[in-house]
Amino acid sequence: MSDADSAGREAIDDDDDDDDDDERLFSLDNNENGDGDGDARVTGLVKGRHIVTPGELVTADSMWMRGHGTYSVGVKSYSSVAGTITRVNKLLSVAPLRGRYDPKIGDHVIGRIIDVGTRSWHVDIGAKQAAVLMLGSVNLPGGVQRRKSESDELQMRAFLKEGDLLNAEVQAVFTDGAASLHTRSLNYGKLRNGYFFTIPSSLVVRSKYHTFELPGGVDLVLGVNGYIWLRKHTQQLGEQGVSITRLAEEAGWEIYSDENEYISVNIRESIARYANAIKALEYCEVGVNEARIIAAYEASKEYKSPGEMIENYVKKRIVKYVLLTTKG
Amino acid sequence: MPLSLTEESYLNVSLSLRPPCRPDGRDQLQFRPIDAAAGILPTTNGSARIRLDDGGECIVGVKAEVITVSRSDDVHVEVDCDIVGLLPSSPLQNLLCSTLETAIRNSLPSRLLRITNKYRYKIFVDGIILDHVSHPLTLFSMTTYLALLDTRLPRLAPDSLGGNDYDKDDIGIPQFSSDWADSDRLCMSWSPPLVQLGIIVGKNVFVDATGEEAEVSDGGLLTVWHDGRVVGLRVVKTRDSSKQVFSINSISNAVEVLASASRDIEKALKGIRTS
Repeated sequence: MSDADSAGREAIDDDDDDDDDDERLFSLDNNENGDGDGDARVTGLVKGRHIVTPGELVTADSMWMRGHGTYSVGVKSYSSVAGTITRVNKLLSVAPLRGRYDPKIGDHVIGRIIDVGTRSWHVDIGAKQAAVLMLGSVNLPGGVQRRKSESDELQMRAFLKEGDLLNAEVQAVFTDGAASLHTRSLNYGKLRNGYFFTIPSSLVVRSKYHTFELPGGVDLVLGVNGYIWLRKHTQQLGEQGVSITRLAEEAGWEIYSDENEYISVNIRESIARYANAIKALEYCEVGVNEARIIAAYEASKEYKSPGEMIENYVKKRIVKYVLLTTKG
Repeated sequence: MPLSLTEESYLNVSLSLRPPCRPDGRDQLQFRPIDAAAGILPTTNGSARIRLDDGGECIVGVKAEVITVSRSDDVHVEVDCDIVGLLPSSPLQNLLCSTLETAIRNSLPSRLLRITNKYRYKIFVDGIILDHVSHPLTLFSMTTYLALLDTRLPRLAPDSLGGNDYDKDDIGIPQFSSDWADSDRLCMSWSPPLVQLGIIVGKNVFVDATGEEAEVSDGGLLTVWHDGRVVGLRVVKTRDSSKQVFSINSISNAVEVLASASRDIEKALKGIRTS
């Protein structure tokens, strides 16, 4: 919005609906004493109508600090996105309902290599910018402690090449919002034996773990960025009774293998069923977590073929059942 | 975005199994839900819009223009389409336009477009593909089919002399009835052709393939369905390393599968028009 426009809006606001505005502010200004009661009241009011659209007045009170998703004209704050108001003490921000994934340190994400550079890979994680995976942030065959040599730089494509999928953790976020990833754990690394698809990242519920072993012999990696990997359940290296100190030596070239294991038809069908269950939750704009995915999978067993789950009325039925049987 | 080797092999094996296991569990002949509407553009003779489950959307409008009958070899149908995000005259656009244009031209008898001995209609089919994730050919064909079903051509108004015989008067310029309800459906005795794209993976054929399914396919085959039978076919490249040659067995199997899919689609689309 140009300055002239903003000024014009300000003038209009001042002219005729100033009083009206004050009522639209969820009465945030009632909270001047800042005690517990006041907080509860404000939260309640914010919850009462907590969705705002771009350009909508959030508050006209100058006591609030303006966070992400807001802009100000004079002392008034407006929302710059469609989303929900969140407040931390005096900081008001608007969290967008949709939009690109915003990486945070420690997030478990799935990404796809888009470019191999010098000593680093560029990874698409669905954020505004491609993430960086440094050669020094991956486990190389032959052990964690191994020094990276020039020959490693030359054969980077042998580890990860364009199109490869991997799961990783966000190690750092640069000031411009780009993420730096690492895969220095045997939970992370190249993905195989499965199927990839995406949902909006805003639907993924953050939790302590993002890797789940699901009924039906299927493992799920639910990336915080909305990228999802469903694969055949396999014993991870860490589960085979090898001591942690030996893990490094055990990790050989197989962690960068491009070959799938044998995957039975039943598992392939289960994977299709889980994928459709998650897409049903997505269709109904319901947050995705482990309990709901399993509930949706169980509910879907009513339908003999997973293909029946692509019909929209079936999706609604399944999600209705899920919301009845799971909490939160 | 290319698939990773393991993804590609997972999908390829799943689709080659007999019976196959598609990543979304559909049958070989099962379509994803579509949202279709006819007659949405008031300034056209016929129009339709179809939205796919994956976000693909296509709008087609049919316009009829009155032209003088000059040469007998004059084309009577023109098909054009824009694909948002692609430059004009991209290979995909050429494929869509040329396939549909040939199919309609070959099946539409020019007598249906006759007005008088001197004047006749020329049909312009214009489409826009607002978004596509999977191959847009079937989408464009279904929307065109629906728009043509919706197409109405105005009738001639009885002239002031009380007759309707413009042909006797060589200089007679046709006057059309001003009442829009006084019009004929283009598809009273004619049914538009329907183009169906199937992808071939091993011995299996799939309709309504998603982008990733096409990405792992051996190749694609399109069939032109008209009047209850397949009247034409063509091998289509679905990816860079697509096969261009198929055995006669896999082709005839694919044609059979696509014919039965086309029959169902035709029935469904005709249901939309009448409802």
